[in-house]
Amino acid sequence: MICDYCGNASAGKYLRVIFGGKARHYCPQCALQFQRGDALAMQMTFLNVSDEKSGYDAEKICPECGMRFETLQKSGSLGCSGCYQAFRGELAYLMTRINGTACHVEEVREEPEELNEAEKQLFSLQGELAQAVSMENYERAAELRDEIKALTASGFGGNAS
Amino acid sequence: VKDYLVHAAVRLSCNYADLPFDAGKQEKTAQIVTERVSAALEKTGDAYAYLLPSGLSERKKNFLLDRRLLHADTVHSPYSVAYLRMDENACVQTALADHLSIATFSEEGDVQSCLKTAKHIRSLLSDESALAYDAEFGYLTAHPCDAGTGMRATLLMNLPAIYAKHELLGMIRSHEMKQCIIRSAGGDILLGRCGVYCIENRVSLGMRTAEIAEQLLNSANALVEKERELRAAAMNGKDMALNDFVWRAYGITTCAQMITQREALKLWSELTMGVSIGAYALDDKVLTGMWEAACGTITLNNVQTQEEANVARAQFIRSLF
Repeated sequence: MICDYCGNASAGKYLRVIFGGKARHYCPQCALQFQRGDALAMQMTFLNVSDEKSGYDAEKICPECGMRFETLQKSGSLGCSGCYQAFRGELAYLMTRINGTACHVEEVREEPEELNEAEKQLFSLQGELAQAVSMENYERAAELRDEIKALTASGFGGNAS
Repeated sequence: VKDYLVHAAVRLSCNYADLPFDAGKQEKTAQIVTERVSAALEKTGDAYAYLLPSGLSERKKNFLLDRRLLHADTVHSPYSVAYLRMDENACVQTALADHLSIATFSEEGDVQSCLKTAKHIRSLLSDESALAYDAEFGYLTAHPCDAGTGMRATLLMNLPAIYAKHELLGMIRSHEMKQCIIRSAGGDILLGRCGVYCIENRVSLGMRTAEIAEQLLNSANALVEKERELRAAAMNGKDMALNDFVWRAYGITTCAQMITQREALKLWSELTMGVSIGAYALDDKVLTGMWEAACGTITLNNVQTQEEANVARAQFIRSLF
């Protein structure tokens, strides 16, 4: 059998993974890499470049660390926190495929009865964003992201504790 | 004696917002991270030991790896430093793929208490300097797969009956198991070597940490229930296949002249079930000693080669009986 990732044929048990409705087969070496957490990089490789929904742009560069999207695709690692901003669309698309959502649920919402108005609004916007991303409505998702950003910039939601 | 749920561990990965994610490769970044962690931990009431993973003895390293307090990628991270809490149940490791890897361990398999401790340490570290965080993506990590909560919870499980009866694949397809990843204990991809498995959360984004932990426990409970059911059916010599399985393990353990670490783990798992189904009685110290041999935390004297180590390990195990 030929590995769908490295293209080499090797002996041993192959790992079968369903991605995007298609079965992929990994040789033992690539399967190990897959299970060690480079799944995203490998899935990126399988993305169709012409797939408009993915927002894929190999030329895109992170302004903070200079990392190209192409490098991220190969290594599976980001260069800095700014990369999340620079490749937001691509990452949201891929993270939705992996986690079923691209929207983090803040721990602060463990006790909803204590939420103030701003927190409630953020809660609602994040819910809408998750829904928009899962429906692949990226225009609406972009609008919602801007609203969330404006809300968090006003002093709520960016507390990383 | 450990059985079913052997232990639990939680790891939270995170990064400082103002530094590039290159601490694993750049000494300068690694140094800044280490200084910040030192300063933050000094303010806590807890005592932490400063360790250089590269300078640890093999035994100590295996002990910490077994508890998942050291990251398996440590060997590839020359600038990594570990701060081990004195109770040896919590560790902050710097300069891996991410700046900070906060690992906690529970011998009792209490994943919620591991999570609580890890979150408390993360909160202390974030007081010193802001962590990379995004309202949409949560905690930002070098590998986007870990973003969100940054959490990897692991339960080590001893399920020899499920292994012997080839029930695992059927279990994986069940609803409860869809939310987790199952690996063999050594972290490799082949599940067919022994009945000791690690189960891990599949997603790290879109759920609260407590929900992820609860989901993982539900998966673990489904496995334990199945394992108990199979073992109950084999009590008092009823299921000859399982009884033969555990007696073979007994025979190998007491007679083998060479035992690898991986084989010791397999034998430990099967002997534990032998005791559990009433096939034979073994002293706790036998199973504890075998567990230590399987984890590589015993001292093997005058050993130069792998073969000598396997001979010494078999000798040590035979001496337990």
